[in-house]
Amino acid sequence: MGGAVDPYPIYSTRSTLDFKEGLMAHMLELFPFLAEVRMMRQWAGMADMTPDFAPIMGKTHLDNLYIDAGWGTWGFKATPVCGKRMAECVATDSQPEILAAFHHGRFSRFEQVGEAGAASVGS
Amino acid sequence: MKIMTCPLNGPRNISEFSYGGEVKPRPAPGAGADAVADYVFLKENLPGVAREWWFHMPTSYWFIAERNLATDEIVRTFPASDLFPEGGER
Repeated sequence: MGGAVDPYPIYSTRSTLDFKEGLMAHMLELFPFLAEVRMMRQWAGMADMTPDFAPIMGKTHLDNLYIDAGWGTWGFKATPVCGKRMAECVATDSQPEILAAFHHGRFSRFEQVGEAGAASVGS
Repeated sequence: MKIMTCPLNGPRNISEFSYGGEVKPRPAPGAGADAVADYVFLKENLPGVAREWWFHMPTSYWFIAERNLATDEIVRTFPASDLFPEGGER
């Protein structure tokens, strides 16, 4: 009935108790009648997060190695245009203009993508 | 993990604490942009025991914890002065 990023990094997929407690508290505020319902199931998985919560796409400093990773908080709706532009990147061996801001070198230049409005980040 | 032992306040509910990132050496003053970017952005993030900064929010107390990122078990907690007896280095 909800999800978020755990409050600190873990590799366990049991998720954290403080996350579950927080989610239940929010649900009970909205639906007090759920107080007697038991928690039946939970799921957790790895989220590939980058320091600015935006994906890393495009060329690298190695020939024939391209990166398309770090989609941990960005929605799958961006996938079609990502596929199209990554294909262009590989076919032309150059970073398409629309992917320029997503190059992995942005961190050493302190030019993070300022768009942390993605899923899980605001909660 | 539900209870964390604060070196100042003893065992407290985990919801009273906030995670403050990995303990790692600061780049020296005047270090290059690459070293600063590495310090700010890159993490070890290994599935084993890591040293981390933790903060007890009600008492504004920073300390260090050793926590297993694979099992989420807290191995031990201790004051930052144990690691930095001279102070200064944070």
